[in-house]
This record gives sequence, structure tokens and C-alpha cells, in this order.
Amino acid sequence: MTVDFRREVKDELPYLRRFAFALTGSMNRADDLVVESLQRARSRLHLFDPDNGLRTWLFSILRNRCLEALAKHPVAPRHIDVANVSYGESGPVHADMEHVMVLDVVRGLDTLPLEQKEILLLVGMEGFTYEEAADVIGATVGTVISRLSRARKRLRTVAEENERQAQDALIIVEGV
Amino acid sequence: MIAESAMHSFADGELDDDMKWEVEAWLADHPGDRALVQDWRQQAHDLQAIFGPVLEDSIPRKIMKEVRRFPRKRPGGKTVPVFVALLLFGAGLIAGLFLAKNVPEVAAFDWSSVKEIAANVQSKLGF
Repeated sequence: MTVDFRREVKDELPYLRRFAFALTGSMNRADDLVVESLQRARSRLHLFDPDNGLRTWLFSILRNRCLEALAKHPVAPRHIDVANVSYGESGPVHADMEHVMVLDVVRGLDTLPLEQKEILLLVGMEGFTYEEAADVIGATVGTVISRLSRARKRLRTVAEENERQAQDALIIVEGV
Repeated sequence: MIAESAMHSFADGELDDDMKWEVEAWLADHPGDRALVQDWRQQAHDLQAIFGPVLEDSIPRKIMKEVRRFPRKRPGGKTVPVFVALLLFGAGLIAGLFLAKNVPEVAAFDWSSVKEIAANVQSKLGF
């Protein structure tokens, strides 16, 4: 069966947009970077190795493009529409509690160095294996695990700090 | 003792069955580590929840315009190797036909000299 290559590229678009948005904090910027990455990919089609997979190749190009762009203009202040966050099966009952956790994650994410943030997004959000993530960033699996470990620790620390601050605020309110 | 890297691999579904079982057994006895792994999985869940709605967006026209410029046929692949293989096969065939007509027959091997040497060796060794 012949695979429609253009269709394969199209299927990756939502994930490419999501990754670029999560890295840059701006949907407009993410879309521009996806366009530029597609142009770059098309001009380098002769370098595409079908054995390594289209997804890894496209993410690798987009990731490099995002890094170049972020070096010139760092991440924009992020606006997350918390009301629009999808909670899957957990349902609206836990929504308030989950909003707090979501904000923790967003705050934590934006404090991470880019090299840790991209790994957390590739593995945690996009579901890349360690080996695929290593291919995308051009590093070893050991480096991926090490950065992932530091990123997760940092997120946890931010969540704990937020929790402590919330408890302190509660004590002050109760004391009034 | 389970290394932290193994716990990350466990949380991300990267372990084979044997190692997975080993980590599961460890976590069952170590609630602190179990909470860590749950926390990492929750982080991934939260990231998907936060950025998930982007997947539902319609793709902007400027991006679709770029996609339409891609070829329908997958680049690379088997086209060039098949062509090269056919070329080599053809060249081999022609060379074979040429040699079959032009190289003189190899003289038949003379086994009598080998038998003579073997007989000498046997007699010296006393077989």
C-alpha cells in the first residue's frame, strides 16, 4: 500500500503546534515557527531518512527552529486559559483542585531551563521514547534521563513552594 | 536498591517486563518512592491537560499552504537502491555471458598426484 507522505506530514501538525506553543508560550509565534520548520523540511527532503521516522525528523527541525527563535526573543509571558483545560476522565468534581495543580505545573515549566523543558515536553507530553527524544535533541539517552530527572525535581519543588505559600496565606486569613 | 533512573524509566513505560517487576516490588515497599513516581506521572497528565486543547484547533491556513507543497510520494526509500540493483544485475549478466564465451576451459584437476602423496604419508606413518 502506498503511503501518502503529505498526509503523514499533516497528521503531525497538531502535535508540532502544541510543542511549539508549550515551548514559546505564544500560539502565533508557534504557528510561524511551524511554517518555517515545514519550509526547512521541504528544502531538505533529500536528507530525510525514512528509517528514522518522520515524526522525529519534523520535531527535530522544529525544536532547532524554536531554540534559534528563543535565543533571539525569550519566552513570552504565558496565558493559559484554565477554564479551557481538558481534564479527561477526572471530571468537573476535581476541577478546582486540579486548577491549582495545573497552575503549579505552568509556573514550574516556565522556571525550567530550556534544555530541561524540551525534554519534559517531548517525553511527558508528546510521549516520545527516551531514544526518540535523544534523536530529536541530538544527545544520548543518558542525557535525556538526567535532564528529565532535574526537570521533574524542579517542578516538584515549585509545587511544594506554592503549597507552602498557600498555607501561609490561609493562616493569615484565618488569623484576621 | 533501585536507581532513580530506573524509576523514571518505569514511570515512562521504558522498562522490559523483568525490570518492571523489580521496580514494582521495590515501590510496593517504599511509599516515598511510590509517591515520587505518581507525582511524575501526574506532571505528565497535567501537561497533557494544559496543552491538550491545542490539538483540537483547526490548522491555520498558512500552515496548510506549506503542507500542500510537500510531495505525495515519500522521499528516499527504495527507488534508488532498486535502480542500482537492476543496473548491477544487468552488468553481471553481460559480463557472465562474455566470460562464458571467451575464457578457455580450466584443465581437469589431476587427482593421481594427491593419491600418491597420501600413500607416501600413510606408509611413513605406518597406517
